[in-house]
Amino acid sequence: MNHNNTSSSNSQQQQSSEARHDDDAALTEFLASLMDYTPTIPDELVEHYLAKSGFQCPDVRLVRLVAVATQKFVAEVATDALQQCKARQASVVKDKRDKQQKEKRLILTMEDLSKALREVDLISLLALANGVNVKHQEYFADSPSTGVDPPSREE
Amino acid sequence: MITHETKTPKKPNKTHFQKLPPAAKNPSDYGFKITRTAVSQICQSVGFKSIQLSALETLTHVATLYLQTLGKTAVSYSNASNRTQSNIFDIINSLHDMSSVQGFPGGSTLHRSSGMSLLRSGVLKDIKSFVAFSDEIPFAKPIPRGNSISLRRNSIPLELDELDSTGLHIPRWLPRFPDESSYKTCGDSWEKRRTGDLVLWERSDLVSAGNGNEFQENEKGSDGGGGGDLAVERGRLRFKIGEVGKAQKGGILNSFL
Repeated sequence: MNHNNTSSSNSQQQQSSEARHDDDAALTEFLASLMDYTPTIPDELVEHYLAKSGFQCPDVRLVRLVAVATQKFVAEVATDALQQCKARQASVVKDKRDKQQKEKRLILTMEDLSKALREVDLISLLALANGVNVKHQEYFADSPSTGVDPPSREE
Repeated sequence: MITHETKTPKKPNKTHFQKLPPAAKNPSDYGFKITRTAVSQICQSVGFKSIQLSALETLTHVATLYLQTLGKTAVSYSNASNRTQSNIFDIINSLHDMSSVQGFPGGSTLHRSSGMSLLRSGVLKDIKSFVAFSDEIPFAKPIPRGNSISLRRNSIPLELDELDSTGLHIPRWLPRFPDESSYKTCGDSWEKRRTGDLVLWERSDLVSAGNGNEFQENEKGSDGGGGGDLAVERGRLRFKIGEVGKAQKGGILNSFL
């Protein structure tokens, strides 16, 4: 029984180390690809704000990673606002046909933006920015084995 | 009259309210303006044709906040593991923190296996696919690398010889070492005092008395020695105690009479 356990754990370790090696390689590859990618948010700006927050790192790739993460965040909020805008316009068009020409132009308004920003927890963002610890929610349940203990899962 | 009175306080209130938000966001900031351009570029790439100024400023503010929070959280992670320099894992951890509000794939198994989850993070995968599938839009204009806030600004330029010998291991954010004259010249004077003709306690009789030969040599060869040894042998002196006492008594008596 014990022998079986150790052998299985060994094979698991081997598998995990192989998987880890693959993940490592993928991460290195991704970081290398960031060297060729130019984010919309310029490096200088990111370095400026990172230096302001006490961030020290000579690696350009990590600065790029932060830039890309921020760009992705802004793009997500903007896309959400665009959906809000389109949905609003679709409802308006149904009512008044003549206004269609005017409303067809896609304008990012405060109304749509505030709806899109409802997804973002601005209070916790502000709190994190001011150095306050935010308690993270513990209710993630995206994997089927979430509530299951590791030993019972192995069996 | 009443309607007029009620109208007048309303107007300044409105203008005040309209003026407040830009002052709070500090739009005169150079960095803010650059961020605004970048954010408007992103909005354009998403598909917007135009944008309200207030919406643009709000989104810019949120983007700046996001960026700074990302940096601060990463810094706190690196400081928690006794480092001043941040690495990729600090950034991934901080990305997890930032996206934990909305939730992300793999968030439930985040704390089960420590090293693995960071490498195959769902947030990082999302960023990977974003980089792979989104169009690359460089910033509109090149930015001069001028007097931006960097670590170089605060550090004092080191001299070449100082760089060669010491200082490489000292972090650049530390204040500079005090000027050499404040400790080197002091050492020189101390050396002079030590090698000069002042007699130190090491050379005095008290110490050398333990070594008999040295003591004799000192007595023989001390012609013009320091203040500790006598140059010429003194003659004998005799003290008569009784006479002094009488003289004192007499003096005292004289003063009494």
